[in-house]
Amino acid sequence: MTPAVHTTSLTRRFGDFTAVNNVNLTVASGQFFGFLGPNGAGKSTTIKMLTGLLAPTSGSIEVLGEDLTANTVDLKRQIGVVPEGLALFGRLTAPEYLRFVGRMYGLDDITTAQRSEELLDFMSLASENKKLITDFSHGMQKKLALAAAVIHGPKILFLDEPFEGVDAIAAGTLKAMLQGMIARGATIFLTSHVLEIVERLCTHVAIIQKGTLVAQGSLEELRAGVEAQHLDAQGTQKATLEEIFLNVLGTTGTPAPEQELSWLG
Amino acid sequence: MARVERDSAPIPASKQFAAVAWLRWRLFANGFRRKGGTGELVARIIVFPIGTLFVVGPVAGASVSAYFATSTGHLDILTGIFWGIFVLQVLVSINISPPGLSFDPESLIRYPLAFPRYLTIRLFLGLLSPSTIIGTCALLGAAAAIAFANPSLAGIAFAVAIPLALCNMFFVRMVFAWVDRWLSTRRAREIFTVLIFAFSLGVQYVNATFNGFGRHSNHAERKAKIDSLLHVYHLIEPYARVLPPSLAGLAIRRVHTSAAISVALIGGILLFAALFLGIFAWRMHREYRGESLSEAARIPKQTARVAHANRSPIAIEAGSRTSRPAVLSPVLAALFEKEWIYVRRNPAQFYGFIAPLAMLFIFAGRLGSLAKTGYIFPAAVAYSVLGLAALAYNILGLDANGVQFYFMAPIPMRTVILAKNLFSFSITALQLVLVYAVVSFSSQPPPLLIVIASVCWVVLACLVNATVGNMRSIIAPKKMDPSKISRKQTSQLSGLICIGIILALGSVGAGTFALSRIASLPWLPIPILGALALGAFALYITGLNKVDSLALNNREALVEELSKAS
Repeated sequence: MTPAVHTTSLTRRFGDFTAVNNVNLTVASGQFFGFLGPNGAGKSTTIKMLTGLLAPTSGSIEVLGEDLTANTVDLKRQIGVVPEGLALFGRLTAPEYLRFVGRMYGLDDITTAQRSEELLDFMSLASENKKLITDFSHGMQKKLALAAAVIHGPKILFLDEPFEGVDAIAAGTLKAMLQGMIARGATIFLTSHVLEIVERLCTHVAIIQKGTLVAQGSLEELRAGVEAQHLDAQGTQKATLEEIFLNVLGTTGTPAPEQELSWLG
Repeated sequence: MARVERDSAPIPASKQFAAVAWLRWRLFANGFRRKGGTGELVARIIVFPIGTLFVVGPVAGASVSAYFATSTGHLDILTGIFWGIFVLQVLVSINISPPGLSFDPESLIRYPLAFPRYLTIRLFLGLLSPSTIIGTCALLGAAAAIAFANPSLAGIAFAVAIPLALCNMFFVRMVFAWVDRWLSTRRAREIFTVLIFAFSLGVQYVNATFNGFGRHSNHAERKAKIDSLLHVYHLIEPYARVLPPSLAGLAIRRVHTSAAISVALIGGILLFAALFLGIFAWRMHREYRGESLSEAARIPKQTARVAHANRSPIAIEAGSRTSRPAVLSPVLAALFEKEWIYVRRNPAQFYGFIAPLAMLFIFAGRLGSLAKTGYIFPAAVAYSVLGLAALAYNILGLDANGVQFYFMAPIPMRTVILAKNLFSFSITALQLVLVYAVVSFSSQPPPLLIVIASVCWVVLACLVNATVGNMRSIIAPKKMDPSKISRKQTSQLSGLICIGIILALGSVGAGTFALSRIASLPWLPIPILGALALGAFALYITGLNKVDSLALNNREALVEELSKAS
C-alpha cells in the first residue's frame, strides 16, 4: 500500500546549522502518527517541509505516492495543515476566514457555506460569527485553524501542537473529530508535547532529536525495544510513552544536582 | 462534518484571484472596526488629495516638457524626460513606502496555488504604489503631450510609453523584492545602510561642491561646471544608450525615418521588461518554494553557557551593576540599555541620527550669510531634531510581541515610556552638542543668545513630540520590521499628525527668530520659547500620567498589532 508520507534523506540547513538531517520517515495511510522531539529538535521544520511551506535543502518527499516538489499544487489540495503559528488572518471573522479558505481550495460557495456552518457548530464557534479572529482566545483560534485545515476534506492532516493552549472540553472535541477522520481513512500526522495525548491517540510514533530521527515504529515496537533494554527489570508494568521518549533521548528528565536552581523559591 | 474526498478538477484561476481580492477587501474593511480605525480612514481621506498633488506635479512637468520638446522639434530631449521619470519613480519608491499590506502575501503558499497564479497575485498586490502611479501617469502624460504637439507621433508615443511604464514598474518591483531578501539578515541591513549613507552623502557632496550654496559663480566657473557635467554625461551615455529610457526616446525620434527600427526598439524595451519580470519571478519562485526569509529561522550556534547555578545571586547582582548607569534606577537603566541595544542594531535609526550631522558638516561652511548671523545653528538644530521626530510616533513599533512583557512585568507602562523618552532626549542632547561642534568648526561659534533660544526650542519640540508621540504610539502602534524597507512603518494618521506638528514647531521657531530680528531684540526668543517649553513640560507630565490607563485601555489592540506575524 502506498504510504501517505515518505521521505528519503530529508535535510534542511539554515546557513551552517542543520535543522533536519537525513530523515527517512514513512507514515502509512490511515495511521495516526505522532512526531515527537524536544524543543528545537526539528519537528516544525519537518512539518513545514512535508506541507510544502519550506523547501528542503536536499532529499525527497513523497506524499500519497507522488513527489511533493513536482506536484505541489495537487498535493496541497489533499492535505490540511494547522501550522505552528496558526497563520490566521486576524482581521477576518471566522465565517469570512472559512469562506476564503474554501474558495482557495476550489470549493463552490454553497459547499463552503454549508461546511463552514457545520464546522463552526461542531467547534462551538457559531455564536462568535461577528467577532474578529484577533479577538478570539488562543483555544478558539486553534479550533478555527483546525476547521480551516479540514474544510476541503483532506486525506492527510498535519497538526503542529494542536492541543497546546486548548481547554479540556475543546481538546475532547478535537480528539473526537480526529478519531472520526481516522475512522474514515484519513492519515493524521501530529506533533505534541503532551505525551499522554499522543499515547492515547497515536498508533505509530517517530522521535527526532537535534534534527536526526532516533526512533520510529509502532508504540508497541518502541515499547518492546525500550523494555528489553532497561525498563523491564520487574516486568510488571508497561513502559509509558514518556518513559520511552526519555529513554530514547538518553535522559531521565531530572536535572543533575549541580544544575538545580538552588536560589529559586 | 467534512468528508474526506479527492477532487481532481482544477481550481479556476478566477476563483482564487477573486478569493484573494475579497480577502484584501475584507481585511481593509474590517480594519476600520478596530480602535483608531476611523482616525485612519480620516487620515487616508486627508492624505489622498495631498498624494494627488504629488502625482500632478511630475505629470504636469513631464507633459509640459514633452510638449515643448516635441513642438520645437527637439525630440532628443524626450530621452532626458524618460530618464527623469525613471529616476523619479525609483526615488519615490525609496522615499514613500506604500501602505503596508494587512497580511503577509507569502502566507498564501499554504494553499493549492500554482506558481503563475502566485506570481500574478504578488505582482498585483502593492501595484498601486505611489511610485508606480506617479511614474505611469507621468509617462502617459508625456505621451499625450507628444501626441498633442505632433499628432503624427501619437501612435509611437503611446506604443513606447506603455512598455516603458511596465518596464519601470517591473524594475522597481524586482529591485525591492531582492533588496528585501538581502535585508533579511541584520548584517546585510548594516552594510546596506552604510552604502545608502555613503551614496547620499556623496550625492550631497557633489551637489554642494557643484552648486555652492549662497555663492555666485562667475562665467568661467559656470563653464567649468558645464564641462564637467558634459564629461560625466559622455562617460555614462554609451551605457545609457542601450537602456529602456534611451531606447524609448530613440524609438520616437526614428519613427519617421525607419518604423522598423522603432518597432525593434520597442521590442528592446519589452525585452528589458521581460528580464526584470523574470528576475522578479525568480525571487518569487524561491519564496513560493518555501525559502525561509526570516533570520529568526537561522538558529544561532550553541554558545558556551555560563553555569548560572554556580554563580551566587550576589555575584549576578554585582555583575549587572557594573554595566548600569548609576544615575538611573535599575528598571529605567535596564530599559535604557535595551533601547540602546535596539538602536545599535537598527541601522535606519543610526542613519537618521548621523546623516543630518554629516550633511551639516558638508553644508555649514557654504551657507554664507546664514552662517555669519549665527542663525545656521537653530536651522541646523531643527533639521537634525525634526529628522528623528517621526520615530517618536511609534516608539513601541520595534518591540514587536515583546510589548507583552511590559504588561507582564511589575512596572508601570509609564516607566517604560519614560525610559524610551529619556533615551530619545539623550540622543537629541547629544545631537545638539554635535551640531554646536560642527557649526563652530565649519563656520564660527553661534552667539550665546541664539544657542540658549535654540535649546529652548529643542526642549519644546522634544516635549511636544514626545507627548503626542506617546499617545499615538499606544493608540495606533505599527509593527516595524527593519528587514522590510518597502513597507510602511508608521500609522497613516500618526504620520500626518507628525508632519503637522513638525510644520507647527518649525513655524513657531522660525517665527520667533524672525520676530526677534525684526524687533532687533536678540533675547526675545528665549522668554517666548522658554515659556512654551515650560507649558510643553506640564503637558508632557500630564500626558505621561495618563499613559498607564491609556495603555490598559488599548492593551488588546496594541498587543495584537505588535504581535502579528507580518
